[in-house]
Amino acid sequence: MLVEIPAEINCNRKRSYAVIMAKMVVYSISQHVASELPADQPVLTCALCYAECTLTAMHWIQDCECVFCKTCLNKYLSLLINEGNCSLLTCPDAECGSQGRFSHKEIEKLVDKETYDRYIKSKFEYEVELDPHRTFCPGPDCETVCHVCPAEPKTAKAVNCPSCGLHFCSMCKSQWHGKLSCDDNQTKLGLTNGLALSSRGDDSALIKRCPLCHVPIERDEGCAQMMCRRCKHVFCWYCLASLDDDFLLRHYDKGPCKNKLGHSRASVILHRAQVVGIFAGFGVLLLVASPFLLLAAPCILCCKCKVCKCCDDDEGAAGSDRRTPTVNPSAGSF
Amino acid sequence: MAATRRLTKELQDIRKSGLKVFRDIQVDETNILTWNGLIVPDSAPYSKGAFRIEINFPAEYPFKPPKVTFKTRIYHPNIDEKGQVCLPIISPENWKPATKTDQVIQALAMLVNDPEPEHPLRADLAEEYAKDKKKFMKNAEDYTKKFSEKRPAD
Repeated sequence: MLVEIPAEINCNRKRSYAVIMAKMVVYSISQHVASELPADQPVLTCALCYAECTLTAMHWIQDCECVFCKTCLNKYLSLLINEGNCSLLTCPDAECGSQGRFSHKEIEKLVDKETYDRYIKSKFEYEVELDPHRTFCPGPDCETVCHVCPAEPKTAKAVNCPSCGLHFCSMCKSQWHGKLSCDDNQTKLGLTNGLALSSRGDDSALIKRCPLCHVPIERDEGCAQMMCRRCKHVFCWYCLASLDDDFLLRHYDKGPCKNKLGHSRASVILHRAQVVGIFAGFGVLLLVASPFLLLAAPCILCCKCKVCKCCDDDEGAAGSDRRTPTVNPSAGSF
Repeated sequence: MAATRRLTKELQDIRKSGLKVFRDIQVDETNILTWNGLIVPDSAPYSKGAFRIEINFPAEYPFKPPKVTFKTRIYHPNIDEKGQVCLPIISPENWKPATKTDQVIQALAMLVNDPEPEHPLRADLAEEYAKDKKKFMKNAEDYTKKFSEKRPAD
């Protein structure tokens, strides 16, 4: 049974393609029940819709090499894009270890044009909102991207829209309020009711803005360590301090947020033991491996130099098929 | 329709392999989007009874997750009085379409057997579970005796 390998599949894909083909030939003999499909074509079962599809109807995700039918991937991606989850377009299988991401090209091929345009637009909006030096003009029907002065990104700045001339605040997006803070301005405007947005350490507020991307976040339950779903920034709900590097959650040991985490002492200690354990494990591994690494270092370095030299030699010989072994550069960095 | 084909196959597979923790599966032939069945936990204090659950699949299944509700009352920190349960594997932000219903049921059975007081739906029960486990076990056992269904014979 010969199946032509599509031209777009590159070299290292051909290998996995061949493996899948081998599996499939067996499959097609044992399970193919010849419905409307031509009998001489191998079929694969899509893990999403459980339909048997020919190879041309399937799509290999380039990043993780998982296979699903194009119809299902179209529905999967369209649903995520139309719901605004453009940052999470990963392999639809929870058991896929690498959680492969879909490339722009793959998305363009799999969804219709309208959805793809929406994807590109949301992706751009997402990038702008994460960028401290750019912001969208909040004026009605004005979608101009305005430049924010690159002084201190976390302080409120006056921004002038070059298209509609609106003079607004880079943090709360309301009209520029001069020296007044964003919260005080909202109070002045009478916008503070039970659901007022707060961007500072106000304990009673139900909704606050993410300190990094300013998206409004509601905390309905759980502990005080918050992770923004949008930009993945980790911060303290009460004082909005960054906890991105605070693996041991020491922020809640002292200062104004002491004991405000909302987890029992025992679970915090367990968490810390786990973190310390992971680091200690790596340390021990490195310590055990260090004599071998020291011994191997001259060999690795020599190999690398040899490769460099070979490359230099090869440059003249165009069209030759000879391949020189490459050494992973990270191997020498221990 | 993708949902019907996949659910028919999943139901067949589950019936064929016979899940120990999920028994007496009833599905109306005219509506495969609603499943009924008994969760049969094997850890105390729930091991003396069985709990009826309903699984509702949306028309967009498997691209949107199913919803699980308990029809039998249960004394559990992660299941509220209305029978709603908070299961991370089927929450919209975590859902992956390749996840099969038997994995969802296994995760649910695990949550019933091993409550997670860290992420409670009923804070009062979570507190009791963490602070006075003996009292919690007794209350849950009494509740199980009073409200749960008979366990199916093996």
